[in-house]
This record gives sequence, C-alpha cells and structure tokens, in this order.
Amino acid sequence: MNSITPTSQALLDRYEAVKKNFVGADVPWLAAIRDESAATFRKHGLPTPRTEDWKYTNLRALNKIAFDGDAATDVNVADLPERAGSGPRLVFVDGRYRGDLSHSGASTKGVRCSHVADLLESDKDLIEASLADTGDETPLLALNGAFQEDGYALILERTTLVDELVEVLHVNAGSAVNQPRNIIAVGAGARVRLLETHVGTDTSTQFFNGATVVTVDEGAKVEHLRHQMQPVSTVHINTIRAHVAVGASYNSFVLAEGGQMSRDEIQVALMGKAASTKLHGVYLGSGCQVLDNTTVIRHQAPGTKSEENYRGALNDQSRGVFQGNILVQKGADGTDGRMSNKTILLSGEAEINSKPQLEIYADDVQCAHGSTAGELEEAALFYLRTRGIPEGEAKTILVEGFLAEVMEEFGLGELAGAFRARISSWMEA
Amino acid sequence: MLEIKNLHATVDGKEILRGINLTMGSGEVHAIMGPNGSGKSTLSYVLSGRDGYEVTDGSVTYNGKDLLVMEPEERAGEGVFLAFQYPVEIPGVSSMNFLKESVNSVRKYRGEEVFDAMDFLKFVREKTKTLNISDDMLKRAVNVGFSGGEKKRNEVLQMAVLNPTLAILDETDSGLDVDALRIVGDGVTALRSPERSMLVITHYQRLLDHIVPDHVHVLAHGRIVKSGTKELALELEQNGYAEFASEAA
Repeated sequence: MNSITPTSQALLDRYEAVKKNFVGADVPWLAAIRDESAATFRKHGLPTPRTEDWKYTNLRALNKIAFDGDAATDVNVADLPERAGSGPRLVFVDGRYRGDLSHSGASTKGVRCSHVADLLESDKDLIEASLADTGDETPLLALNGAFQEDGYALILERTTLVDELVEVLHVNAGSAVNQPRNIIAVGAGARVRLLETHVGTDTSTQFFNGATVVTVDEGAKVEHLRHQMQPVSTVHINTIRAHVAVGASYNSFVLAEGGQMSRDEIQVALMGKAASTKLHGVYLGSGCQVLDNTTVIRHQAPGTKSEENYRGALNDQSRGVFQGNILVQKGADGTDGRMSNKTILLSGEAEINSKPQLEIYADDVQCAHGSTAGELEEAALFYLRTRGIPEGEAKTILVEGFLAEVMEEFGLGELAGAFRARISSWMEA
Repeated sequence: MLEIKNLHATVDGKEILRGINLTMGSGEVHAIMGPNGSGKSTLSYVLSGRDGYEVTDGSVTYNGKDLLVMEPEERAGEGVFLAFQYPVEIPGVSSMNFLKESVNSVRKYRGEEVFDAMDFLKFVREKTKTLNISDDMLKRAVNVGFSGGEKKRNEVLQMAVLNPTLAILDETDSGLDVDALRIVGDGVTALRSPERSMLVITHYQRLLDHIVPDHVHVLAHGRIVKSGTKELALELEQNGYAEFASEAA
C-alpha cells in the first residue's frame, strides 16, 4: 500500500468522522459514490511536487489548514458583491445552498437552475454520473467526490436558449473545507452563459476544492466565466471536466486574482466531430501568491478545434504556472489546436513556469503554441510618458491593455467593463 | 526659450553627443540635418528624457528651467513634445483613451481643468477634422495596424491636442511616400505659431520643402559643425554630407 502524507490522512480521517452528517447521507447511491471516491483518493493521496502535473504547484499550504473547522453560521449580506445582471443568481455559503440569499430570476421553460441537494431524490439518473466522476483517478476530483454535499445544477433541455447571464456566487465564510460538486448539463442545440464568482470574508482560512462536470450535447454552446477573488488565506482548487459533443462548444474565461495558492484546472474532451473549445484567462499575482492555470484538451474526433490564450501580470514574489496539454488522439484528423501564454513580470522576483505540451497521434493536424514572459516594454512606457502620462499610470495603462486584448478576443460582453476595472484597481493597489 | 550648452551624452558608455550648442527663440523653426549616426535621434531622446541616455556634461534650459532634471512626463507638462521616428504600437489601448489620458495628464500638470468624456470628444473632433483623421482610427488600438502615414498623422494629432511650445520632430519623413509626406508636412505647418518652436530633425531636405525652417544646422559626430539659413539644406541636398564625414573626431 502506498504511504500517504499526514495531511491526506487527516482529510480521510475527517471524511470518516463526518460522512454520517453529510447532506444526503441517507441516500445509498450517493453514500456509495462518496465511499468509492474516498477509496480512489486513498490510493493516491494529495499530489506532491513529484507528481508530474503538480511539479510547479505545491500543496504544502494545506498542512497549515485545520480540516475540522466549522461552516459559518451566517454571512453579512452587505458584504456580498452585487449581481452582474438581472438573471438568476444562486448563492452558496461554505458550500451550502442559501435560498434566502439567492435570486430565481425570470423562469425560462426548459431550464433548471437548481442545486444538487435538491435533486437527489427526484433526478438520480440525471446527476449520478456527474457526481461519480473522478476523471482518470484525479486525486483532487476524488477528494471532492468524497466530501461533496451540494453544488449548483444548471440543466437545460434541448434547444433551450437562455439569454440572461446565470450567476453563481460561492462565499467562503467559515473555516470549513468547502468542496462543492457542480453540474452543467446542456441539451442539444441549447445555449447558456454562466458566471461563477468566488469570494470570501477576510478571516476565512479555507481549503476550497470545487469540481464541475459539464456535458454539452450536439450543437449546444456553453460559456463558462469565472472570477476568483478569494482572500489570500485560501487554498483554491477548481477542477472542471467538460465533455463536448458534435458541433458543440465549451468556452471558458477565468479571471484569477485571489487565494494564496490557486489552481484552475480544465479538462476538455472534444468527443464529437467539429466540437470546439476556447479557454482564455487572465491572472493577477502579487505578494507570495501562486496562480496556476492547467488545461488538458483531448481532441478525440475529426475537425475539432481548441484555442487557448492566457495572459497574466505578476508582481512582488508571486508566481504563475501555466500548463497546457493538447492531446490529439488517433483519428482526430484535421484538428486545429492553438495555445498561447504571455506574462508581464512587474518585479524582478516574480516568476512564471510555462509548460506547453503537445501529443499528436493523428494526421493533417495544425497545432501551435507560444509562450513569452518579460518586463513592460521600455519603448512603450517612454512613449506614454512623453505624452505627459506619469509613470505609474502609464504602467497601469500598458498592463490593462495587454490583458484587455485577451478579454476582447474572448468577448466578455456586459462583464468587460467590470473585469477591466478589476485590473485597474489591482494595478493601483 | 531653449538653450543647449556644451551638451555631452553617452549611450551604453559610448559618447554620442560631444558638445552641442544651440539657442532657439520662441516661434522659431530650426532644422537639424546630419548623416546617419551623427547623433540626431540621441539629441531628441536626451531632450525628452529617455532612460539610458546619460548626460555627462553641459546643460539644457527651457523657459529658464533646467530640463535635464525633469521626468519625461514633466517635460511634456512644460510643453516639450517629441514626434517619434517610429511611433510605438500599444495593443489593447484605444487611441481615444490614450489621447484623453494624455491631454488630461498634461492639463492637470498645467493646473488646467481636465476634460470630461463629452468635452474631450468635442475637442478632439475639431482637431481630427483639420488633420483629416477618421473616427475609426481613434477607435483602434494606438498605432496597431496603422500604415506609416497613419502613424505619423497620429503623431501630428497628438501634437495638436497637447499644444506644446517646443515640438521635436524626429525624422518625421521616414517611411512616408510623397503624398503622405505632404499631408504630414501641411499638418505640421498648420501648427506653426509664434508661441511654438520646432526642432525638425531630418536626414533629407525633402521634408523642409513642406516645413520651411528659419535656421538649418548640420550635426556631425555629435557636434553642430555648420549653421545657416534654409539654403544650407539645399546645398546639403546637392553635395551630401561627404564634406563633414572627413571631419571625423
């Protein structure tokens, strides 16, 4: 048997101690999924720097977090960010759905904007596979599977078009381990945009380990936007697994600026012909933060397309990690895969580890990757200063412009202004 | 108003300017001509305060103030403007926002009221009309994908909105065809005024057909070796710089 770390053991002990009290503990099929997930986690334990895809991102910060903390009893409503639009917003505090804080929005036929705990009895067939998913025995996904209690469930019947932005707000308020398992399931030809925002109160020292399983049926479109602004006391890991069918698309944009250690991992399987994915993101690091963006794209069918574009600005002693893995399987002929990661280093001590990887087993494939890192361009800074713009403001303008390009390329619509404003205020901080 | 005395400057430890003396009065247009490597661009960067251009001796006084101790943005506030030989592309920043930031920064420095968005739009529209610049160009990112002519026209527009009292034009004619040269030359000429001096730096005489100088100076090996009127420029066009090349230091 593998020896697992004390921290992994502490998590398993915690699981055994509290599993009887979990939401849905009396639902046998869910209890079985949790136990199986825990067993999978036990086999591997938490990843260490010896684990290939965790080489640059060390989870030792978890050693300092107590896993027996309590969920918050309440949260100050005034502290919650405002809704970005007028659509529905589901609010989760320490992983528990809070109907009293949520907005249902106008109801659209064919849309269920709900939470997993509410569907356990009525919709087992619809959600079971998503709750049981542990990927290729991904340890953090398995850990999430063991501890899962609730999460959002966004389910669209075929050809349902949702025009309004659907919002989910995750609030870390207590010191509990927070491991929501979310479901996005979109029927053929349907379309939806979702914004997830992660916030926390400043005192919460938390381990957030979320997972979302996404299925996009034939010709459907999902746009998944995330803004991660948790306190720097938080360890934030978010794993997304998306399965994309014929002619469908899963597009994701993440703005990552919070957490002492943060990892946004997206695994996309382009399963059907002409399926596509666009994964874009912006990361803003300062202090001693580590911000990790890891993507794994599997091209499994002909004519599939992937486009990755991540840009970041890193200050102080912060570190960025970009791991992009494109795998083109046998038969996925005519694949088009592009990957780019560019970083501006605003301090001599900031650092980026960029690791693009291509594995190609098909014919007629176009794949490209590029990665650059460097300081702000002196010529551009000088140019702005000769136009009377003071150095600090000139830097803000240049960094904002550099990052805005990736936002414009993605097309953030009504969120563009707010996301840009975050960058300006980050630069001015 | 501008007084350059015995100006010496080095780049990467190499002496490029070796004792420049030049005095310019208000509203005067001076041309500095010289062969490649004579120090023309270095002079423009030293006057505008670029990092890496180290002044080792001499002084530059502008309206009675020591220009050399100022940051580039302070010099802009004081009325110094550099039109770049190669205007820099700034991806992701719209020309309109850039202009607004720029104008308002300078106005703030000069103790003037800053423009709000509407007033600025009105203000800039007046300038673009006279320079024949389309609104579309203002929506695009600064200089990104601009043709050579558009880039230089954009420089002239910046000059027009910042309203400097000393404009330094660094090889403004480079990269321009005859038509673009005329448009840019006319644009600059329209900005001539008794309150604005211009230092026109150029290799070729052709720009001076459009911007007619009051004085012409020849720069060679980091020093002004000859000064005269506009006829000197024509002479240089005829005879080239060979005469000055032999004067190697």
